[in-house]
Order: sequence, then structure tokens, then C-alpha cells
Amino acid sequence: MAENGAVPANGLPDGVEEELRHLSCYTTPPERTLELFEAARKGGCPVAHSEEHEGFHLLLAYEDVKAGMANHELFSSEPQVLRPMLPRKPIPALEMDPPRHQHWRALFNQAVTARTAAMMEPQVRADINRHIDEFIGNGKAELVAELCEPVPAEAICHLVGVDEDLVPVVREKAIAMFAAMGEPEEFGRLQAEFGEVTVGEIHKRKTEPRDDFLTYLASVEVEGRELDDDDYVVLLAAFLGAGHHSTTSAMASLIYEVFSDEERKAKLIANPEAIPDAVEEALRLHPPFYGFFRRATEDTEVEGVEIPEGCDVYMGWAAANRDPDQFPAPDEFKLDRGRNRHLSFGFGVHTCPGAPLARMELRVAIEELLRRVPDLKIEIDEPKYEFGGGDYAFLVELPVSFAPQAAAG
Amino acid sequence: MAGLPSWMVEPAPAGTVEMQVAAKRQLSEGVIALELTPVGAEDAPAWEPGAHVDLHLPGEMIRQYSLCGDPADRDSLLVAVLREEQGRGGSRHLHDVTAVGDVLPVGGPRNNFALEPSPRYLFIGGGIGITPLVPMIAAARAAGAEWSLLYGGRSRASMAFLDQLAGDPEVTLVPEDELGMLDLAAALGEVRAQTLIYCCGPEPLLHAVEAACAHWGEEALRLERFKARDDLPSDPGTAFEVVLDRSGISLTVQPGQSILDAVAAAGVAVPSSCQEGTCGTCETEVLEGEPEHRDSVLTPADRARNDCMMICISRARSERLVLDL
Repeated sequence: MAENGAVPANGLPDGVEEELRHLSCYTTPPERTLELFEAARKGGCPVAHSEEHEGFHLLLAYEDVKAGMANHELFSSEPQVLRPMLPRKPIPALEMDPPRHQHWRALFNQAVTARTAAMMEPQVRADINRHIDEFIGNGKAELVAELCEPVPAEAICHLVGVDEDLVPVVREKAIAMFAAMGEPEEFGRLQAEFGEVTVGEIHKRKTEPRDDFLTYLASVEVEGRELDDDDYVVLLAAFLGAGHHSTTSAMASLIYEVFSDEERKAKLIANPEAIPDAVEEALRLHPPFYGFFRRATEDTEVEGVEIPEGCDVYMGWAAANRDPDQFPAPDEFKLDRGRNRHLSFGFGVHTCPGAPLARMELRVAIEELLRRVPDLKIEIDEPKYEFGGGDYAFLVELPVSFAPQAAAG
Repeated sequence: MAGLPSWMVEPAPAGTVEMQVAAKRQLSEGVIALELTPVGAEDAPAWEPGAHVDLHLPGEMIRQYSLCGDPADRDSLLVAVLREEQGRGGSRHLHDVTAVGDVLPVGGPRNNFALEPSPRYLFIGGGIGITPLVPMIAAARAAGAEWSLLYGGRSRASMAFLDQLAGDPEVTLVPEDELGMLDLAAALGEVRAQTLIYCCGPEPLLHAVEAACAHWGEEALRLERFKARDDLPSDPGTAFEVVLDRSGISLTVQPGQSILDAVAAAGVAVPSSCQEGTCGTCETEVLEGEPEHRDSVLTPADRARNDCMMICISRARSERLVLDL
């Protein structure tokens, strides 16, 4: 679409053009966002434009989004990948271009590997069972609050070495901080509160080292220098921000998709080896982040749309994940989809380093729910998604019911 | 500096110990020295002149380097590394990426080039082939043996260890840009009794030395060849054939070479980013054959389907792969 807002010759239905022009995660709810993406793509507009956040292009076709993500030289992650921009330090690695990127990325790569995910699995399984024990006698539960939110937070805390008794306060501070992503002043205040607790732990490790990742961070050098408290705040916020809420959202979506369809559930009980396929399909249909922003480093063009240097470009993962050219019957949850190259973990050098950990948590959550509460019923007709801070989409609640059982799995 | 928590650390491959890069310095043009110290409180492993170690580098690269320090120094091991632009990437990694403080699994030391007792030695070194000879010379000297060294290199600036060797009357330095090639006929023409010849260097030098001392008898010459080992514990892979279906190109991927590099050398550009199997950018469809997946992107289910692979790091189980390129 033209930069000046002139209506191009395309097949967009009435009003869609106007709605797209005002689209952002702060103006349009997730469900409507997906409808608009589809309408735009169908209407021959795979590169849309919104005037929100001082104007940005939206890439909606799978191949365009993937190519855009792969080209970190043309589409920069600096200064920030979320909108609106806030007066804050860049999120380590995520908001840095190579070569600086890899110095910080190494910290995440070191922490999450196939090995660490496998090592953490028994502990995560125990956490999940502890939470199931807490509600299994009640015959009902609200799984976002009672399972999906705490489990990933506990996993990240185990990963870095936060003590068990500190986990609730770290969770609470992180939730408050990320909820304020749209409000600069409030965000700054809440980030400082989060930092007080978490950076305090790093300082403790400096005097009393332990065999944990916080101790490693306490003395690690990045880009040839020691880290200061500001570095630690953003680094720990990145670990929590990347690993906590995203997985909460994905876990709730996955549970909804598995338990809202009796046939699907029966298939997974009979063939547990298909659970990873269910995980991928839930991630594809319900990406916890609908997309991140990039900034063009030179004049370019996508699908005939000119994108001048300095323009913001939104990489629409949620749209790409439902591109019928890539995923036949894109709105269907298909266990037999086979090759499922969704973009929910991003693509290119910034691909989510925590993916092995998230996939393990999601798989184990479903394994344990299918094993212990196979009669679990979803008590809502339609899942209700909202946008949190940034383009983070989440299920507000997931009420379920089942025959009460005695605890202890 | 504290290390990663122990549970996060991949156990070192069998037969290796973890050593830390304690110092990295330039020895000559294109050659660096790496000083490796034990991570724990134990001594550095014992070794004899002529021994080498295996350095385990990311991406399953394992490279052999001769030890060139002092065997009596049990605090550290010293290796010298020539940057090989056209090599398979091990030396470039050590030059460009490896930093002081890094921890590497180190295999060995092993010795295929041991210095046998002899009253007289003739050492012949070409280029970086000087490295195993340096501790041999020290040992010969300490044993009171007679010795001489013929040391050739591209230019004086490129020749490592000149500070230790130059000025010694037993040493003949032959920078090629000043003096041409080593005069092997002069050095080896006359057979000397009770003399062992130790030679290390590039393949053409070894061939020339073999030819020039054919009349010395089989027992006199000891060579060390630079070549990819084929008996490595976790190997750099075997060679296999790759067919690029759309391009109509067939090529052979060598041990230690990535498919990505081989494909790029054939002129087919595949986007790639991390080159270590973590980002997924170079994912390529497999039309025939069975990949050996070494990446950390694909899920077990993806892997089992064998319909795609990360060509920056993964290799082949079958002798032939057909890729959609």
C-alpha cells in the first residue's frame, strides 16, 4: 500500500483497509487481528500498512516473513523489536544485530541446550504434578492461574538458580513489569522493582558462590567487560520475559486444543508419540507473540511495496503461520500435518534459544494431564485471547472440570 | 571467573580433559600460540616430544596440534596454530573465535612421532611443521646428542620460534623468499652413521625428503604427516555424495567439511546464519537419503521424517543425499 495512505487497487472488503490502518496490539484484539490478516492476504495485500506506532508495514505472507527474518542485515532488530518504543536498554541479544548479538546470545545458548532441557525434565514433571495435586481434589480448576502460569516461571527459576521460596515474588514482579509494556513510566518503575529482587540474588552469589547460573552471571564478561546492575536487570528480565509468559500462553492454548476435541484427545492417549505434533500445531495456530518489529536499514521492496530506509516492518508470525500457501487448511488443527515450519519461535539468528525448554514443558504438561486427568473438560465454548504488553497474545482463563480424585500422582 | 553450573555442562567426550585457554599470542605471521591449563587442580597431562593433542572445537571439529612447549612444565600445554584460510575451519576458529578463558575438551596427548634415543639427529622442519621439532631439539640438547636443524618457511616473518632457534650454529634457516627451497641434496646426500632424521612439514616436503634419503636405509627416517585422522573418537564424519536436484550438481562432501560449505563452493547459495545448527536458517529439504542430524533445531519427530536437515552442521548416514537445491 502506498505510503501516503492512498487506497490501492486491491480486493480488500469495505472497512478492512480502514481497520488495518489503525491496527496494533493496543487497538485490535487478537481474534480480529487474525481476521484482518486473512482478509488482507486474500485481498491481494500481503504487505499491509498501519499508521499506529508512527506507521509500519506488516509482512503477512509466510515466505516474506521468513525471508525478512533471515535477513538481519536489511531488517535490523535495533533499537527495539516491540512497539511502542520505551526509554529502556535493549533486550540483550534480541534487540542487537550481529556482530554484537552473538556476545549476548551466547549466554542464552549456554543456558538452554537440548541437554539442559533433558536434565530439567524430571523437575518440571514434578512441578506439574505438584500443581495437579493442588487442584485434582476440587473437580475443577482455572488452568492458566493454577498450572500454565506457575510452571514456566518455576522452570526459568530452576534454570538460573532462584531459590524455591523466592519464586512467587519473582513471578509476581515479572508479571507486573510485562503487563506495563505499553506504559513507559510504569514500566520503568516496575522493572526497577523486579531488578531489586533478582539482581539482589546475583549480588549474593558474588559473596557466596553456588553451582548455578546466577553465580556464572555474577562473574561473566560480555563484550570484554564485567556486567553492571543495569545489565543484570535486562538480562534477567529477558530470561523471564522470554521463558515465562510465552510458555504460559502456549501451554494454555495447547491444553485447550487437546482437551476440547475428544477424538484428538483419544488419539494422543493412544499414541503419546504424537504429542510433539500437537505441541507444534498449537504453537502454529496460537503463537504467544504475534510478531516482532524490525527496521529497514536501506530502501527495499517487498511484494512490490516500497519500504524506505528507516521504516518499521512488522514480521507477522501469526499471519505467516496461517498462510494457506504454506499450510493447507491453515485454520485446522491437524495432528498429521507433518512438516510444520511455523514461525512462532521466530527465524534466523534471533530464533528463540529457549525453544527446547518450552517444547519439553509443553509436552510434559500434556503427558501428565492425559495420564492423571484424562476426563478433563474445558468449561468455555470459545477461547478468549487478549493482547498483553507487546504483541503477546494469551488466553485470559481456562476453566476446566473433571471427576475429583485424591492427590498424589 | 565462575564457570557454568556443572549440570549445564556437557560431560567432556571420553578420553578428553577440559583445559582452559590461559594465553593466546602471536608467534609469527599467521601463527598463534595457545597455552592450555588444566581447569581443575591437577597437573597438565604428561607427554614426550613429538606428541600431539586433539582439540575439540564446536561443530564436532576435532583438530590435532603438536605440543611445542616444555614437557617438564606440568602447569600447561602449548600448541602453535597456523591459520589455514583454505582449511576446514578448525584453525580459523582457534584464531578468530577462541579467546582466553575458553574451555576446550582436549584429547590425548598421543605420540606417533616419538623421539628415539640416538647419538645424532637431523631435524628437518617445513613451515608449521617446526612445532614437534622444538621440544625434540630441547630433548636432544639435554641428552647431549649431536643435532642439527634445517628449517624452511615461506618468509622469515612467517617462521615461528625464530626467537628460540635463530643464532644457534646448529640451525640453518631457509626463508624461501630469500634463499629458495631447502637444499635436501646437500643435507642428505651423505649417509651419516647412527643418525636419525626427524621431519615434519607439508606433504611435498615429506615426499622430497623421502626421496632424498632413500639411500639411508629404512630405519633412519621418521616422518610426521599432517592429515585428517581416521581413528577419531567422535569423528568429523566420512565423505559422502550430495546431489543438488534443482541445480543438477553432484558433489562430494569431505570429512570435516560441511554440506553448506561444499554447496557454496559449487556456487549454490543457501542462506545461513549461526553455522552451528541452532538457528534453522539453512534448513534444506531432503528428497532422498538419510541425514545424520546434528542440529538442535529439529524435533525428534522432524528428525524421524528425514525430509529436511540443517546443512551447516548435519551430515549423512546414507552414502548419498539428494537435496532440493
